Amino acid sequence: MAITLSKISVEEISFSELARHRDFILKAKYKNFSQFREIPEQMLAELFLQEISEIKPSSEPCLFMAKAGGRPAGFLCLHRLEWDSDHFGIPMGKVKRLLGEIDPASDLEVKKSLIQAALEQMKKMGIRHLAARVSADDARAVAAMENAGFYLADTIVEYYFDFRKTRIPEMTHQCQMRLFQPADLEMVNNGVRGIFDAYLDRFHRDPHLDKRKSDQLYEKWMINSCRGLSDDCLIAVVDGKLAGLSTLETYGEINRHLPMSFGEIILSGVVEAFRGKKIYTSMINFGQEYFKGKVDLLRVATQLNNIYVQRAWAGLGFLLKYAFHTYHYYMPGG
Amino acid sequence: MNERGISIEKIAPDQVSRYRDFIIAAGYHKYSFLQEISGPALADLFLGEIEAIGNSRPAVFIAKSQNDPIALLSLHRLNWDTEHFGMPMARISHILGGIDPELDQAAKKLLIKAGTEELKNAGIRHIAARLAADDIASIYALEMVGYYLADTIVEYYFNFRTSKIPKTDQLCELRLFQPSDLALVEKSVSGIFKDYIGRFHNDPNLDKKKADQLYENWLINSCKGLADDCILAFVEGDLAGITALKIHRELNRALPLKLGEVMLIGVVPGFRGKKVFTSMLGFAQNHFKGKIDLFRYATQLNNFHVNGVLVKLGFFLKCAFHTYHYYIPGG
Repeated sequence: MAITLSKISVEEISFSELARHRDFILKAKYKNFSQFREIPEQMLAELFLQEISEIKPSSEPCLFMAKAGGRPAGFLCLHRLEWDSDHFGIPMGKVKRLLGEIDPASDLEVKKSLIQAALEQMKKMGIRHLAARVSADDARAVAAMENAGFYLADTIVEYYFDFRKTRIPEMTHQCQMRLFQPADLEMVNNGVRGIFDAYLDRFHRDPHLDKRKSDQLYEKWMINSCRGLSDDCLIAVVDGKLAGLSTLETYGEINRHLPMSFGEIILSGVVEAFRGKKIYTSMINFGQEYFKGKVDLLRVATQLNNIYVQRAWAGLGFLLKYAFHTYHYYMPGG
Repeated sequence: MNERGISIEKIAPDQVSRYRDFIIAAGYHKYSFLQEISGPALADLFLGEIEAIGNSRPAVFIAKSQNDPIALLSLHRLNWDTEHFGMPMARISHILGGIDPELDQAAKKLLIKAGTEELKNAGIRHIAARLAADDIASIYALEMVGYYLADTIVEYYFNFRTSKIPKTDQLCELRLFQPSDLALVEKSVSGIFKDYIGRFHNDPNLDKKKADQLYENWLINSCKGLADDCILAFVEGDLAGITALKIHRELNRALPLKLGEVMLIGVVPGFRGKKVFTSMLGFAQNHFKGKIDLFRYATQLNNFHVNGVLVKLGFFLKCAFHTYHYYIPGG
């Protein structure tokens, strides 16, 4: 497949062809973790190739390289989202990476061409819903997405707690906290219902996705995390009742590629009846203690307009480090 | 009237006050995130703003369902920006709604279409609209009409009523601007905003050099009296940074609290990374102490360094906005 827009050409390439464009990968901007200046470009490039190689063949990854004047100028990877497709009952996909910025003069056209190729491919694969994350710094990717008909689904902010520089604040807790045990599963199953209703995320905000299924997505994710998807889960209990949960993950493979180690509190929820009692802040503080000595940096991420959560993080010593927009594209039909 | 029973009417700006009940009930007012400001006070503020744009060819459109107002849009011409960029520019100043969740997005889309057509017919070529990041209906409506995201703004506040000013190390000499400093400022601001990440610089339809100059002019005009005060920072006798401060006296008369803000701040490129920004902001906190209740600082979301400094100085994140632009080629 080859698409040409003015002097820019886009072609589908194999992983081994991608790996041969090492100079381009080194120079290209917006690789994962590039917000950390202490990570050398070589390591970011290795990590990028690792990420692409790890996409399961069953997700049908498609790699597109854009060339301007015959030289690599941009890259996009698209793949099917099997779990999400099954959950929402419509074929869904994701733009995994959109790299560029090799030549500022042609970058917008490069990104437009790659996105056009992705939309063509999406049609061929029968995908009806496509998600793409772009750095809030990448104004040209934002412009290219919107130009192609993508719509803003949410804006995510990433905060980090740096154990190497910052002390964990001490706080008193109004709940008991401990790590999840298999015997807690029934309590979690009963407690999570409704915990994510009317959440502010990209699924709930998307008029093309079923609101109830968006609620269920997070509930399933939380339960699956307790069943072993995440390294650990912490539960907050008040008077013997489940008040909140958080899922905890240490980045195994990623940490092997980077000069510092990362952990993440991925998903947190507070049962409605226990909101406003600083349960959430306590859980994050417990998470800090959990990760102390295990990782260098602890990541948390949320929607831009989730102001309360960001204030809790700032109070606990986390700093805003990165932001990205999630765009969705929907193809009616079916 | 469209297929969902929504009608759009253009109303005279001086007739807006007839819809006071709707204005009080409507969501997405400016400052509605400050819970101590009552609905009627927000409505008065809104009506005051409509009056204040009276010299900028304002237009107001109202969306009705079954003859009841459900959403409103106001717009006006941007005279200063028009002159600066050399093309007719305008702004959607308000989009109110949230009355009927089922019809909100459709009503806003119709209003935005009507407002955009009005501006196109008036020869406007560039339109800006800023809206709360949680006003999803307006975001979708703007995107459907063809508006594009230009930047994302976060607003931080320092609350003098509840927080103590942290001590900051002053690694530069700081003082207020005096009229005799003007020549020094005019000489030093060139290049201070080059490659800034604001909405003007992000917009491919606007001239980058003019975007640089906009902020430079703004800083110079601030020193000439647009701001209440300006702070100058010096390192070894050289001008290292400038901060423009404003107390919103007119606005404060309508609010139950006193608000002030940093309008603009710039650090000379050669002095970046030397805590000049932090020092100026700490000086500004002390300057505002006793004069205002809330100190606002707005910045781009991806200005991560500034976000970190604000948190360290005791500011709290309070709200976020997206700015959308619309461009009409031609001319």
